[in-house]
Amino acid sequence: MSSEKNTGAEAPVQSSADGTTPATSAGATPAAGAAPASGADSTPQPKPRGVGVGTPQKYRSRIGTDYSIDYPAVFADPEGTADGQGASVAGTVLRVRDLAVSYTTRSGEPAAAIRDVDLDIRAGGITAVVGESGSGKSTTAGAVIGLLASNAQVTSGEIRLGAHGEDPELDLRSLTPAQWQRVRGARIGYIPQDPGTSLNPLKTVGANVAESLRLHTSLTSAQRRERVHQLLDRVGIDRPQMRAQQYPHELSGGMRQRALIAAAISLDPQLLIADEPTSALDVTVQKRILDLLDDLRREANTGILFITHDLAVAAERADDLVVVRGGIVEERGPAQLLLSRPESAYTRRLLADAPSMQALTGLTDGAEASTAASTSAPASDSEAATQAPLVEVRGLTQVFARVPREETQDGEPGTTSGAGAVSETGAASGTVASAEAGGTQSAIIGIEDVTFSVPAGTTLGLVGESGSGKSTIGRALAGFSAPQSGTIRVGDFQAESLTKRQLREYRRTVQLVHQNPASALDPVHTVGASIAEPLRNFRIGTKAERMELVAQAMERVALDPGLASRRPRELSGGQLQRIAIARALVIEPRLVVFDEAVSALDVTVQAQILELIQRLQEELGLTYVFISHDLAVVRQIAHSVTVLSQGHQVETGLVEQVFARPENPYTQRLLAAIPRPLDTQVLDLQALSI
Amino acid sequence: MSTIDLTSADAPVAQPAEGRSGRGRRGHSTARDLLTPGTIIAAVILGITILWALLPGLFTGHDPVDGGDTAALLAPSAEHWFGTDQIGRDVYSRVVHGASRSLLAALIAVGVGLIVGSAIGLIAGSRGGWLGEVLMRIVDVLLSIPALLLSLTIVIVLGFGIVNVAIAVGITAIAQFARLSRSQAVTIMQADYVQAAYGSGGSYWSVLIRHVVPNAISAVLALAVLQVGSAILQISTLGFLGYGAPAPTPEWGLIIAEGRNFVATAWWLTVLPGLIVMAVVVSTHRLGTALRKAAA
Repeated sequence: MSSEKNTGAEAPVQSSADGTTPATSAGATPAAGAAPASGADSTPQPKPRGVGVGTPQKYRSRIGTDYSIDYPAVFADPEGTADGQGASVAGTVLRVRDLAVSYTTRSGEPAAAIRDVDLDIRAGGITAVVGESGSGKSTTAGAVIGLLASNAQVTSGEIRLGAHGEDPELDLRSLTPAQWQRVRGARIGYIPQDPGTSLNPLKTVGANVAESLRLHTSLTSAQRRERVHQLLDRVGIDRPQMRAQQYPHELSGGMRQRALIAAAISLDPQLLIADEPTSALDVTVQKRILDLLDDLRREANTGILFITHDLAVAAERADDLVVVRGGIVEERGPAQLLLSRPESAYTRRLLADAPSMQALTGLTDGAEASTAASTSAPASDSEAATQAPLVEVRGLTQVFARVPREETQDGEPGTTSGAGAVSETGAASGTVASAEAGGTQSAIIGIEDVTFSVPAGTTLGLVGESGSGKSTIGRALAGFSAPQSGTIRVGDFQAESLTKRQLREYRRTVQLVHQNPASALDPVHTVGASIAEPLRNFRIGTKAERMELVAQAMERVALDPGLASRRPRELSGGQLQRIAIARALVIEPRLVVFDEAVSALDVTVQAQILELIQRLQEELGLTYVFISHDLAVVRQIAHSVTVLSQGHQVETGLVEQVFARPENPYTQRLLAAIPRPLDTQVLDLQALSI
Repeated sequence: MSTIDLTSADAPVAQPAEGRSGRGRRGHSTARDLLTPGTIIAAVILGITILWALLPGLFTGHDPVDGGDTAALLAPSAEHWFGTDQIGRDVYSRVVHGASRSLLAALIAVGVGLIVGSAIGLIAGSRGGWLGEVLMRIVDVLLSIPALLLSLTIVIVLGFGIVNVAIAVGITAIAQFARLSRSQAVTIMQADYVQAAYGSGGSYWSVLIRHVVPNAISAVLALAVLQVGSAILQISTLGFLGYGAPAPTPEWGLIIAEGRNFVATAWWLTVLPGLIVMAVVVSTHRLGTALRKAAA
């Protein structure tokens, strides 16, 4: 939350003197709607400190620091009502009762996807719907915005969009398609999950953002352009004039997501639906996007329906939590209450399984893991002193391209919120950040001069954001690419200069586990055949012996050997990752490289797989290189850690050392960006280290 | 050959209908997508054609080669469904007996295209490099020559006859199979499971046989079904031009060619066999498209 403090301090004096509140603009005519918004853009409102909703306008402080207190919802915005802004400005934006959606299957049998879902979103509040994949959270969002699959239908319940300005209260269930078109975009904004595929690649960013303006307003193209620039500026994209003319592929993932948010808020909707808006993004980018959403809802009093699988993110940002499982609400309530006293066993399990939650709730599971790590790591360290480490990488370099200086500065501006002066400072801090990250070196695509060693029987975590080169190291270690320079020694092999014959032997020593088990297993073969494949390739055993070995391998990863005859599509993600691990282990390698091996899995499954990986290490004395963007996972499993940024190695050390006393500014930023539920205020590195 | 291909065409339809427990909803919906009225009619037409080819005696009692003392150029009637030709042979009987030759030739043609084409495409797609370049440039040359011209040239080189016509038509189909299987192979080679297969010690050939071929095969087979139709058409064309089977043989192209001389007085001699050819071609095309959609 440190950045929030910063923005609070940086924010210029607000302009509420003229009585224009962001909420006013929403109900007004389009032409008038642009005017107050532009006012808000040039002189942004400071964010009220209070977490609660409905802080009365008159208590908003006029200087950067806001001393206003949290007012209960009862006191919500009396002035707004007096001004005739509509009684529900700070009231309920969305009210969902007993919602049930079922999918009609081909056999004609309707299958219930969600049942009895209740939701309330207040103006300026975030309600998070949390659940694993398949729990019905996206179906809930689809029902609210009226975009369900064609074979799905709302079977019962009530969805009401609250009155807003001049817009009346709406029963969303009874809308005709034509009526829906006037609601979507104008009153309900939607932020999709994957910024990579959600912008039309053939149109400029500006044209993408302007789309709902074009559909819903009668602005001229010049006015639209002006508004788009304001919006881009508002969401923290520097040089909006230039950005508006670029194409989506020229922007980073975080910037694209910002552009999508700009499109979603272009008409000041009263409700924003954010469907996993950050799950495709790196942790530091995620933090900035979440900060932006936080700012927006405070400033414009927008209600946000936040769909996520990440309980930590939800817990950090949301006012209310709705935990869904199998289409049924397991538990709902205010976030603070629900987290401190979870009533359902499922919520408790989710809390226990989320790595970043362990980090905080700590001192229970996390502490055990940490002490285990700290006891085993020094031990292995002293061993390492006597015997050479299994893996030694020296000066590994594989540069695909050097990124020009200018582009690296175009990254995410450090802090968000507001425009004008703030955005300049934002851009400035962005420059500082990238300068910190790259140090004096230029940013590169690939890796440069990476050096580390992994003692036998321990785990090295490779951490970095996407594009930091961690997968390149993984591929080089697994023998899939020969580096341009540097040496890799694994056991007796020099991996950078293997002959074809040696490479085959090398593969018996090193195995790679991919991120997505569904794509790493051939769909046409049974999983048993996939596990047996390494055995066949190395001509180990007869057919019967191989089947025996496959059964053993499956038992080792806690799977029923009877599943061997199944095909990959008949198994769940967690089972498939177990199969992939079984395949990697069946030829008894010494080093296993996990390339984001748990990133595609739900938290509960992720926790089980991590436990499995740890158990196997203890049983078989394996050495791991664990590549991940998730610091919390790395802390849980690794003994030592190497942090990468834009192809450069910025920090290496024992896990507890790096996490407790990060020396590099980049590492510090990375650590600070971990979602920190329970509103743990300022960055507290001590607390993180446990 | 005919039965083999048709069973492969029918398999995805039939399998989920058996209600195998493990298949679940996905297989079921695939079956539904395939079972449109159009595909059912197409399958029925093709089924009848195959029965004609296998058991012509069941469908007609007339001799296809010897007309006996039947009157010439009779109009269609209950006795002679498609009428009789200039020497009194029953045209329907000739069409029925011609099915085996036309279908067999089409299958030979598709077989040649399938085997040679996908071998070229799979190797080019999975190997890449100069070998892939050279192979695909050869394919480009094949593609740049009009199919009819190419097959005529090949038939003239190989000599007339139904089998040679089939081979010639097959060679013109190589390019399409090569292009499709190359694109399949390129996609498959990038999949994680191929990297995993190499990672578990697989050699190029073992990966090709175990992973690339099985994953590419469904799309290629769907194209094969699609190609059967156009092969029938091309073979009939060559037969019509006189490059195919010699005169008394009942072959579809030849039947139409012979009826052409009487089109003013006995239109049914060309139109009815022509409609049969068209129905079969459209049916295979329909099935091929449905299968390709299901495979995608």
